[in-house]
Amino acid sequence: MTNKEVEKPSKGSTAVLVFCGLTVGLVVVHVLLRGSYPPGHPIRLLVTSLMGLGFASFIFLYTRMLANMDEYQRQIQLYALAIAFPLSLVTAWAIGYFRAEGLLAGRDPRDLPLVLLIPYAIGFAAAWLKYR
Amino acid sequence: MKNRLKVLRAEQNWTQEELAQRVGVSRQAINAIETEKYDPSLPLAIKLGKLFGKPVEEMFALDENTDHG
Repeated sequence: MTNKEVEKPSKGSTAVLVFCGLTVGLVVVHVLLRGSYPPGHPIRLLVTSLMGLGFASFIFLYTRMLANMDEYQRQIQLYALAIAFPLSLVTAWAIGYFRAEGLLAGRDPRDLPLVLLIPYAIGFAAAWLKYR
Repeated sequence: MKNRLKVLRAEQNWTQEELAQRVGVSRQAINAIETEKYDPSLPLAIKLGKLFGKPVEEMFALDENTDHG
């Protein structure tokens, strides 16, 4: 344990939420562009590149937020992830199988990361209820 | 795990925020320990013990009703 000042959870989490929101916004923009522009179009390439940058930034900010948390805040996040990870696997597995059976076939598998935000939200809610 | 943190803090007239700053954790962590929702790590327990001048085992005690298996 170090004596470094503990970052307020809202400080680190605000940046994570902002970047998460921006990235989700870019994914939505990409979905809208798919109907108007062909693959490889410069605008689509630009949005795709920004999405990649957004995902990378999200991971960087999330790990930085975890590093700045104290043991209690980190416990909540790890508990949330412990629930979210298997839930995400089950969700991805179920979507894949349902698509193979003809259900959800109209949905684009590239949008799966958006769906996987739901297991994390469930995990965080469970952690919050346990440790609040 | 049961603990006497709230009593010891009250004896010093410290707020949760003050205690949190002294041991380098968030106020939420202190609150969660006091309400026995969260058990501190050994380093944090030792740090609290040093701060209050008490042995760890005097501040924290196993709850007999809890399964620690």
